[in-house]
Parts: sequence; C-alpha cells; structure tokens
Amino acid sequence: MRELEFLPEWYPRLRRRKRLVVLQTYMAIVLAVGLGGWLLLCGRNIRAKEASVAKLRVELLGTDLRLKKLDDLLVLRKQMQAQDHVIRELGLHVEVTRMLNAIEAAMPNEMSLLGMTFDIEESAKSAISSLARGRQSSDTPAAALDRRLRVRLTGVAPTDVDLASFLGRLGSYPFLDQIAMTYAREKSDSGHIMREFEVGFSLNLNGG
Amino acid sequence: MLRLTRAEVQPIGLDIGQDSIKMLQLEVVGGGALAVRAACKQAMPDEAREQPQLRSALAVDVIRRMMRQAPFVGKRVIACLPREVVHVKNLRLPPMPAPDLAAAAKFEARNLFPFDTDQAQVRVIHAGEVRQGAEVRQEVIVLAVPDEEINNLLEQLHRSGAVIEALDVEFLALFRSVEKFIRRREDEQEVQVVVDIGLRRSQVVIGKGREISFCKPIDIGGGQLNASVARKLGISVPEAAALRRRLAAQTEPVGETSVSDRSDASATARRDPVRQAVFDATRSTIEDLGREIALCLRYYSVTFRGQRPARLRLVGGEASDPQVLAMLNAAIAVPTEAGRPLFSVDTSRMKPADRQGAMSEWAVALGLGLKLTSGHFGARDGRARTSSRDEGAAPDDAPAAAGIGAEVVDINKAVAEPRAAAVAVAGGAHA
Repeated sequence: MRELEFLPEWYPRLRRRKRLVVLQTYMAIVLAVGLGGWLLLCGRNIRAKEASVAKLRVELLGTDLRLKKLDDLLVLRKQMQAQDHVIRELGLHVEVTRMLNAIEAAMPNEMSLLGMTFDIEESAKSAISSLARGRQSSDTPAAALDRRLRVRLTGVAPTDVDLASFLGRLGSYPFLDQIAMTYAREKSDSGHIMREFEVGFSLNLNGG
Repeated sequence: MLRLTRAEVQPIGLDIGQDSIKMLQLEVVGGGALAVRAACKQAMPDEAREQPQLRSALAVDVIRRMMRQAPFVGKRVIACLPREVVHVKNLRLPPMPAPDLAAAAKFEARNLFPFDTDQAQVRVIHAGEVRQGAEVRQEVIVLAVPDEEINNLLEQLHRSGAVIEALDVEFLALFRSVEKFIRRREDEQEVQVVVDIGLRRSQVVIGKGREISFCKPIDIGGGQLNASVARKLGISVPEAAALRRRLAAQTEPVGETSVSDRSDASATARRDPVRQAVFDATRSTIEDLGREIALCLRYYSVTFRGQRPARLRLVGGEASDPQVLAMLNAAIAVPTEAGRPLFSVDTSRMKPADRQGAMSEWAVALGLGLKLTSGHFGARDGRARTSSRDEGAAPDDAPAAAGIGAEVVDINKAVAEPRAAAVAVAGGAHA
C-alpha cells in the first residue's frame, strides 16, 4: 500500500529547529554552569591569592620597618664612623677629673700628691704595625700617628709599702700602661720622714 | 519478565471521532508480532457533538489528559485529518507512467476543488485501470486538504503536547488495519471491503490486495439511528443511544453473522417490544445504508473488473450492533461481519472494559498506529484458505470510450448508476 503523507514540510523543519533550540539552550545552560563554576573557582583562587598577598604585605611591612631601622642604624653607623674618624683625627678626650678620681681611688689614705704633669706624645707608628691595622688605617694619614697621654705624678708616701700598693693598684687599671717609677727617695719635712716619688704612666689616645 | 529482544514502540494512533477519542500505541515485539503498548478511549465533550467545528479544539484537553493517564511511551502521534476537511475527487486519465500520472492528476486538480490547490496539500492514489470500451484508462483518487485546515489542526494538536509524526486520512487508516495483516500471496488478490459506520457518517473503502481502489463517504451514521429511535420512542437522543448500546450489549455477536443468526435476531426482536420498536425505528435508515453499500459494491464490480469481495467488514462504533449487522446482511449480497481489527494483536495491556466485544471502533486508531511499521503481520486466526473461491465474473459490458484527457468521475452519480455514469464520464464532464 502506497502511503500518503499530509504533514506539511514546515512541521518537521519546525520540530528539527525546536530540537536544535532545545539543544542549544541545554548547551548554553551547560556552558553557563561551566563558566559559573570556572568563575567561582577563579574567585576562590583570587581570594586565596589575595589572602596570601595580604599576608606577604604584612610581612613586607615588617620588613620595611626592619629596613627602616637598618637604614637608621646605617645612618647612625655612618655618623659613628664619622665621629670615630674625627676622634681618630683628634684623639680620645680624657677628662682630667675622671683621671684624678681614678688616681685618688688607687692612692692609699696616707699618700699625697705634690704635682702632676700631662703631656701628649705623638709619634709615627712603625710600618709593621700600620700594616697590621689594615688598609683603612693606611688610607687615613691620621691613623698613622700613635697618640698617648703621658702622665707624671710626684707625691709623698709614708712608706714604700704604700708606694708599692699604689703602683699595684695603678697596674690593675687596664687603660693605663707603661707604668714606671722614675725615682723614690727619702724626704724629711718638719721632722717627718717620708718617701718622695715620681711615677709615670701613659694612656692610649688612639681609640678603638 | 526479561525480554531478550527489544520491542519497537510505534507512535500513538490518534483517532478523534465524533463521539469519542481513541489513542492506541502498538509495539512490534520479537518475531514480528504486534501488541498493544497502551490504549485509551475517552468520550468527546458534549459541546463537540453539538458543534462539530469545535471538535479539534475541544479535543485538546481530552488528549492531554489521556496522554497523562495512559502509559504511552513518548508523545509522538499519528493523527487523522477530519473527514470534512479532506476533499476527494476521482479522475480518469490516459495511461501514463506513474510519476507523470501524479503530476497530471495534480495539474487537473487545480480546477477540481473550490480552493487554490497551491495553498493545499494534494495527494494522488492510483486506484487502478478502468476499461472504457476498447480504451484503458487509469482512475486516480485525488485528495486535497487546504493548508489552512492542516495548520489549524496541527496547532490544536500541538497545544495538547503531542508531537505529530504523520498526518493521515481515515480511509487509508481503515484499509491499513486490514492490509497490514495480508501476508499470503493468494490473499493479495482478495478484494477487501471495509465499511466504517461512525456517529455522523459512514464510509466504504474497497481495495484489491494491498491497494485501495475505491472510497466513498455515506451520510448515514449512528447519530441518525439514535435520532430515529428517539423519535419513535419519544425519548432524548442520548437516552436512545444508551438504549441501543444496552440492547447491543445484551446480544452482541462477534464475527461473521450467519443467516440463522439473522433470523434469531429478528425473532428476539419480535419477542421484546422495546427491541422490536428499536428494530422498526432503525430499519429504514439501515436499509438505506445497505443500499448505498450495495451500490458501492456494484460500482466497484462494474468499474474494476475481477474478483468479487468475499466478505464485508463492518468497523466503527456502530459495527458491533447485531441489529445493524443483521439488517445489512439482509440488504447486501456479500456476507457481512463485524470486523475485529485487534484480533491479531496482543491486547492484554488494554483495560478489560475496552477489550469487550469486537473492538471494531479501534480500526482507525489501529490503522494510524500501523502507519510507520514496516512489513506485514500474520493473522492470528489461522483459518485455512478456501481454494475454490466464488470468483465473481466481471460484466462484459464496459463503459463507453472516453475522450482524450482527464475526466472527472462524479462518484455519487457513478455509484448510483454505474453503467450510465460510465457513459457520462466518457463525455468528459469536468467539475
């Protein structure tokens, strides 16, 4: 039996188009869901990165603070180096009162000082010692000088024991060197017999 | 149960009738057997019966409800064009190759129909060769449906949620419900006569073997029988319809009705006064119908010479009425039987209420459901074919010779007076 079909051509076309639209809608939904998921994932990644950036920023802030402190310290160091350079040029300043206080502390109670002289001795350092101090010292001509404060004390003490005790105490001060007695002799004043002496020592004024 | 073979589920056959809507879905199971996958029948809303033009529109909700209720697979539907929108004309053309025949018929159809055929779907059925004297001509049935009507129907069916797979016409679906079960070569020479008696009108479809040769609508239907009974008994038409249904259910024969059955029916009718009254009321209408059918058979025999029909199958809502069967048997020389279209189909999935009787009202839905099936299906009756058939001798006198060109056959006139019409046809009367 020959079949007849009365369905107009537009109807299957419409159905095909409708199926296509449904398919496209489905694909669009899938694409939208995919994009949404991808955006969600991106957002999550961005938030995670932002959190890590914020953490790094906090760390950076700390580092900046430390750097600033370091800069300050470097500036300070430079200032100190400049001061050190000036001191090296001029030599260390020793206050006489502090020196006297230290000497007084070393003196026994019965001892008296009769006189005191302070002299600054400057002498060129030996080549070996210059080399030993390094290049920086050689660069600066001031560093080539050996600067010392030479102190001479004259005084009287009742006995030699007191004198020895005094020398011993002076020797215990680390900043004094070349402690030497110039002379010690008998002296009589108004019937009192005492020992008159002269002691010399020096202080290193080179600094550092 | 586990099935090893996959059933091929067919689209739903949708028959929007005058009084009910029927949906039937078939499946081809293993071994080429047919089974009903789902079926549903719902009465048409009363408004549709009163206003037939609203039938399709009112059917939308019913179809949607039916698709929800019954376990149909998918929403693919093969629907049927309403009879009133299908314009049918018969043409006789000189012999020519099939493609030329269709083109010539379509060309001739431009003057046949009261509408522009460019805005219509025109289809052609080759009915067969017709002898007019010494001349052989080809008769074609031209069917035309205006696009507007198709579009309206599609729009309304689409609103119901159905996906239209194909659109068919009723008489093709009716004939298919018979033709699909013809498998034997000897049956291919048999003349099949199917008469569908609906509520509003009836139609006669005659074909030889697998091809349709003749179709004719007759404006007599169950509605007129109901109206006659209502007039006779002084009751309303719905009451008359219910009475007829009740009487039919009381004595419902299935299958071929013999002469003794007919006499039994008449005797029963005589005993019961109500039945007798109904019988009397419907007799003249059914006799008119029988006369029309007999004329159709006569026209067929005269026009398409060859084998005579062995039987006449009645289908449709009124087909299972034993009174109708009995009276038609009396009026027509060919044995008449209530067609059982679903006889060779496994109907176990149908509701028991729908499985009662001959189920002849399912013929159109079955034919629609079978449209997309390939091949043919075996009949389940298994009756041995009679070797000595009552071969009808074709009349020797042929229609008069026709002129050159197409000739329109007025089928109503030709059926009423086949020989005279053949002469008139030879004159070349165009519509």
